[in-house]
Amino acid sequence: MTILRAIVDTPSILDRIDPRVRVLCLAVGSLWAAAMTRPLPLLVAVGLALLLAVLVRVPWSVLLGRLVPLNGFMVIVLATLPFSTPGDPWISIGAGPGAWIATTQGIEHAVRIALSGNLLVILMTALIASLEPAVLAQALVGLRLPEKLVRILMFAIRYVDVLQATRVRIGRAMRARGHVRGFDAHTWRSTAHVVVALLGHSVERAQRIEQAMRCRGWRGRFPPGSRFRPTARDGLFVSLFVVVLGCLTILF
Amino acid sequence: MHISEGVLSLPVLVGGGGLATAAVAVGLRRTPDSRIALAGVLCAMFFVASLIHIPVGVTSVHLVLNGLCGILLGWTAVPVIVVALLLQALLFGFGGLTVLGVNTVVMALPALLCCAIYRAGGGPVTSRAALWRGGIAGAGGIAVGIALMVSALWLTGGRSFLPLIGTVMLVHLPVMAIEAVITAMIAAALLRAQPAWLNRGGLA
Repeated sequence: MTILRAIVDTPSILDRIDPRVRVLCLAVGSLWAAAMTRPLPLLVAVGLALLLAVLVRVPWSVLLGRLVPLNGFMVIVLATLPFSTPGDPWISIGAGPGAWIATTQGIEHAVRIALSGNLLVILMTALIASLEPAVLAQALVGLRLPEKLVRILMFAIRYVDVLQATRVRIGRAMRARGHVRGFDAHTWRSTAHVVVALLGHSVERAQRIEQAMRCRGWRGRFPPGSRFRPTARDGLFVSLFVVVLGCLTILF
Repeated sequence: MHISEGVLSLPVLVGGGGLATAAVAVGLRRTPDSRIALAGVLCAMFFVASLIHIPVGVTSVHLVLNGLCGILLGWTAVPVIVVALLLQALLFGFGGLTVLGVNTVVMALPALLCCAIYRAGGGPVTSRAALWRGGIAGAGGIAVGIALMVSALWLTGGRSFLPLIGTVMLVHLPVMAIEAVITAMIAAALLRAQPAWLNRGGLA
């Protein structure tokens, strides 16, 4: 199982939009969703975000793989918040002083949380998760994020599957020697040793990377110049995105 | 260990974002250029290690290892954790952009604390001391993280979030216990295999 496979790699209409613009749109959309207090605009936005996900051809399996765990948590929110929020009673279960009273304010808050959570996950999947990780990292440099941070991200992306393969290999070797995971000290000790082995592999790998980079003349900076050039299409996309958010705020 | 998108209020998100930005800035300044590759590979390592599940009864908990991350990397743990959380959001859809700051604070602040606790009074020399300090760091990494998570929820919803807060605390109790045991064993094993990594100037 490789980890980076989790990324959506179907060609889509968004491929021709500057990745920096896509990151910016996600940032604007996220702020909007976090600041929006009424459920109706959020509901419409969820619909539109799903439409975008369909246009980008995010596989349903990927989208559901993200939304199902999220909504497991949202079920708890929807089940508890209406009863724990003070306000106008909407429905009551039982009678007398021990009755559970759901309030309209509580339901509104819970629905708002569930909607904005789903919206943000769908939006991130549609706008960003379809980007190749290396392109995303370059876009982040283009957006003036600290270079050191982006380089940590790039190394992490590059080596996450290498180390995952190491972890799987160690696990297979353990099972081949009869290791069975259980709720016991032996499992915990073995797991600790797996982590120590992974640490050893990582440190050794990092030393080799550092030496390889130095002998190829790395000077501690990305080569200057951006590979991205904003076009009219990018401008159109941003305008459309902002206008839609504006309309949602005003109309609903 | 993360808070989902949509739950927290805007002021809490902005506060967390500001705090995280400042901490990441300090962390980056304290990370020399020659350690960036190490930080990146270790970030991938901690990401992969968090996929390891330990069976607990009928269910299982996954490793977090933010305490260990702090012990090994010191301030560099902060940028490493923010990148790991970003990857988690990108690849699995856990957490997201708006909660990235709060989630970073929830994991990185305890990591820094664990580093200070582990290194307090000089490096441990005996295996028993490493075991104890590792265990405290493992449990503390989660406990302080839960405390921060609960504060973020409380600042957002006050009493109305009490059931949620209770759930969060209950769910993380087994995580804390497992994390304490595993981190203790990792620290003891590292003391035998690579004692220098546990000291100041080792990896960080």
